Amino acid sequence: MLDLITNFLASDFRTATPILLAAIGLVYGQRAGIVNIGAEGMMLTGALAAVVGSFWFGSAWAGALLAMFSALLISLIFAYLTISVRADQVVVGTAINILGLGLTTSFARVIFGVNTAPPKIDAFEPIAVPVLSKIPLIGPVLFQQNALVYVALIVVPIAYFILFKTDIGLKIRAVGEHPKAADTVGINVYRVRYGSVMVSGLFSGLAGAYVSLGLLSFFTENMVAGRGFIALAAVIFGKYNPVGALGASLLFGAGEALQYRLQASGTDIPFQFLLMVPYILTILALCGFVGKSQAPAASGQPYVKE
Amino acid sequence: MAKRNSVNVVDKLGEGLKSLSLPLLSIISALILGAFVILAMGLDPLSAYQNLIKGSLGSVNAIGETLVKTTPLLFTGLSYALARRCGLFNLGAEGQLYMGGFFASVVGIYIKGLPIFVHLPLALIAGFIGGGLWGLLAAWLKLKFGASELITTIMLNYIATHWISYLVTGPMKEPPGDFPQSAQIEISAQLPRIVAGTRLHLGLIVALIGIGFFYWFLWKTTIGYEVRVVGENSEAAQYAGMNISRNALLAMFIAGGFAGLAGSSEILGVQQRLFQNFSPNYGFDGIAVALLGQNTPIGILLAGILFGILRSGANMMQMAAKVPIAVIYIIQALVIMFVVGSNLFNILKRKRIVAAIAKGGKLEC
Amino acid sequence: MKKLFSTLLVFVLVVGLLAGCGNTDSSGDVTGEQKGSGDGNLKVAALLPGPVNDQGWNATAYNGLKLVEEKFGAEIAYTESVPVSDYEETFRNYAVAGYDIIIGHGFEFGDTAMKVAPEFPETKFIVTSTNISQEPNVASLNTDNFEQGFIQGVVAATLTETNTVGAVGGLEIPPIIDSLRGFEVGAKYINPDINVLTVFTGDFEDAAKAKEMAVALIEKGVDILMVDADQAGIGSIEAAADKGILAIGANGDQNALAPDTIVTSGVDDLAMALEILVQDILDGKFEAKYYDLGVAEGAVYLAPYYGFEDKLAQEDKDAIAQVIEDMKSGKLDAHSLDK
Repeated sequence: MLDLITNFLASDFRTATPILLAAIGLVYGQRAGIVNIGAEGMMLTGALAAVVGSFWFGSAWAGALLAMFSALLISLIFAYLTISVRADQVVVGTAINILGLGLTTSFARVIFGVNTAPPKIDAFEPIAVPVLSKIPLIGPVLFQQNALVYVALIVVPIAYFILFKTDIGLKIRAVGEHPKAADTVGINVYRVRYGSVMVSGLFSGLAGAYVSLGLLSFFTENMVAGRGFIALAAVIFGKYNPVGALGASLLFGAGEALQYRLQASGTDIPFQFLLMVPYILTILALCGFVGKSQAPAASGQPYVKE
Repeated sequence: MAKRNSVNVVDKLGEGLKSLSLPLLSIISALILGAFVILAMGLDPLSAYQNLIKGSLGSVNAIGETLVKTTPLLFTGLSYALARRCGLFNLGAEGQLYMGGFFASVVGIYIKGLPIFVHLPLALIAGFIGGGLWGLLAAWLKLKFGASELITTIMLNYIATHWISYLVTGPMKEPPGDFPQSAQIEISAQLPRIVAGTRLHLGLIVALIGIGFFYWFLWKTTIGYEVRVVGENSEAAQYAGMNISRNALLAMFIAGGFAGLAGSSEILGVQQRLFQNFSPNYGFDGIAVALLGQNTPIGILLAGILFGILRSGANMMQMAAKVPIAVIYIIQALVIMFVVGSNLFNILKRKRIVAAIAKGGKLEC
Repeated sequence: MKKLFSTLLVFVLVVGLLAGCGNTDSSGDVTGEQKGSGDGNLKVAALLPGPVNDQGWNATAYNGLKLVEEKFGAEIAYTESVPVSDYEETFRNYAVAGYDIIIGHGFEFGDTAMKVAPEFPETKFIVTSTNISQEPNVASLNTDNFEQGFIQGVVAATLTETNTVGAVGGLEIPPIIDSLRGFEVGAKYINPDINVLTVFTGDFEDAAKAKEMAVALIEKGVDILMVDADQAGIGSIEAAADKGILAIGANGDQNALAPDTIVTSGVDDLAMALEILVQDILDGKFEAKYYDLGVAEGAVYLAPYYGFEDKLAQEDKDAIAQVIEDMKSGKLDAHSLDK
């Protein structure tokens, strides 16, 4: 029984991590008033870049860095179009998703060729934390994961601290709630928004790297498979707060992990209904089991400096 | 005054040309950048684009195919645009499309013995209602629980596709049941072909009527006017005593209905069966179509045709020039980005105007 | 309104211009319509439901095309990830372009092939993984996925120590359903009391999901895992590698993906089946019928054990070989075991 729970929770954390990583970044974008539908495309870019980086430089960390860098570039396009040109954020996000799919599919073929087995590359292997990993239940769940899971868990409190306890965080939130007021007190709205979008780019890239190098060790076309959208849901469900996003990601991860195990136990429920579980859970979550989730007031609106 | 008016016509025509020149420039720029990607893949961009044109406009059949692909894009474009006009983001056209296809198939397959002029409209209406209800659900979740439609519509997409997958492998599977597909739609519910030798079907006409309806509803009816006011300024609408909830529900129902018609016209006009994954992302392309068309009826028509050209030309491009379909995704994304990017010119223009005012100069617009 | 009108005007002009280019462009080719085979060069094309580099279903077709290119000097082409809405157009385009043999790689192309074929009597239409046919020019070519699963099940049941074997399938479509069903029947043929667990991931793309589902199976005690989910399946194979259990590949010989994990693969050698069929066509022996090629015809077989050759017990290998021998000789009809 203990094994069962341990395995379930370990699977939950593995599945939740890419959603969490992307969600942490998206919290920053959202708090500054940017709705980033393009996280999916940025993650996909990150997923390919990570594999390429690891393939070229022989190190998973190099892969992760390249992933963050590539997604950062994409997020700059997003930032430029939505902040400077004031284009509709949803539309640009959609374009980023299409672009991500097209670019990664094309370049994966240019770099790795068609119909060859994926090359052996360095990936993130589970690292057992000494002593702690021996604790029953918690040990295997929390302390026998790969480095990126630890990174994600460590970043949550830091991201929370920066957002709610520092000057920078205050500026970000001010820009998202009332850009005009923020502007009058001397905050550079554009700069704050650019910065926030870049943060979401960096983390989306890292989340993509986690999918291709943390969960797996190769790239396949469209492998992010909707996790970017789930991350967006996690942000809202988590009330635009990194700690909340952690809870939300773990809930979605639990839905997935449950679905896997139900199918493996040979239940009679058609598997399609099990596949729906995480999405239904998301909707139920958004409907306010945890109270209303209030979006920043200037969410989705371009700012025009008078 | 009269003199001024006559000048205005010429001015306006010029303005219209100008407003089109940016999208055109965007398309051309996207194609040029796309050419570099094709080059990077070691392929010939010239031959690729020749085949793109040939495959989409090179013969009657090619044009027919282009319009076959335009049809669902018009519907999903209308779907996004209508919701947008009411201030809502409908990212759920894909799911609504599937639910529309599902409702239309049920009517088209299981009701038998009706004449075509009863059965076909019935199937289309069912498709509209199917998509509409799925859209309505998202609107209801927003109004009742405050769940953002931005996310719920995306989640509903996944639920709808899994639901279809369940149906065609389970209850709706064609007997004796080897293949995951429904039985064939009754002939009396199929959209007839309208040009011999092509697959172009009556769905296109339905889509054009849809565009007409879109225009009439939003600009010629009181309730459409309210929908637009709610979309532009919900506070003002509330102040004016408009019922925001009702307008949002109605807008999402019609928007979902349009997407539902995209699914029904695909099933009733092209595929004649229900399959899993029968839509190659028409739902999301609709967003781009609505954007390029600036949420206007004519704009959506033109943008729908453009994306139809890209889609049907892509097949020939892949076949003859061996360019993978992924390149077309890149081009589509670039078209969108350049179009929204060209808004920069307007911003720059305004900056110049502001600067001119600051200098105390005279202004013409 | 005027703005709209002028917009429309410009658009019409542009489209006209483009169409003009298109026309001058294509007029040269049109004369050659439906005559492609005249120049003596065999032209073979395939419509694939997914990407060619999936290491699975679509890759087998790609390999088949390559083999035909090599063996017969044929000119080959393919369209990948063809959406359902484009089946008819793609078939027609290839036929018009003068392709002699057009393959629809999957049951789902059946309806459309039968619809388009009468217009192009000179062209042979081949649809895989189904049993349709239509005079004079539509045949189906099936590499028997049930038998493929069956021999995989036999291997799994022979090698398992936990008495629990598992299979991960992608989308619920006939080739996958058949192979998973065959797997179960094959495993139970060796050991009626064996525990067979099967799951579907619901797509062919989400490799991470396929991996987690495989992990869930392994946690249930599965120690031999069969994987039939194309590119997503690579994730399941990785799960087997991570957990130190053995995997059995599907469709092609997948050993190269994980040489220390993939003990063997259930190969449905479409390339070989295609070669047989193309030879028939060239010899004028083509019939519009259902070509069902399985273990007996040599189109479905077990890939080599490679590094496992020395690790497996001789009696196990003999037992597996015996079952396959019985299938070849006709002594064992795997399908008859499936109720």
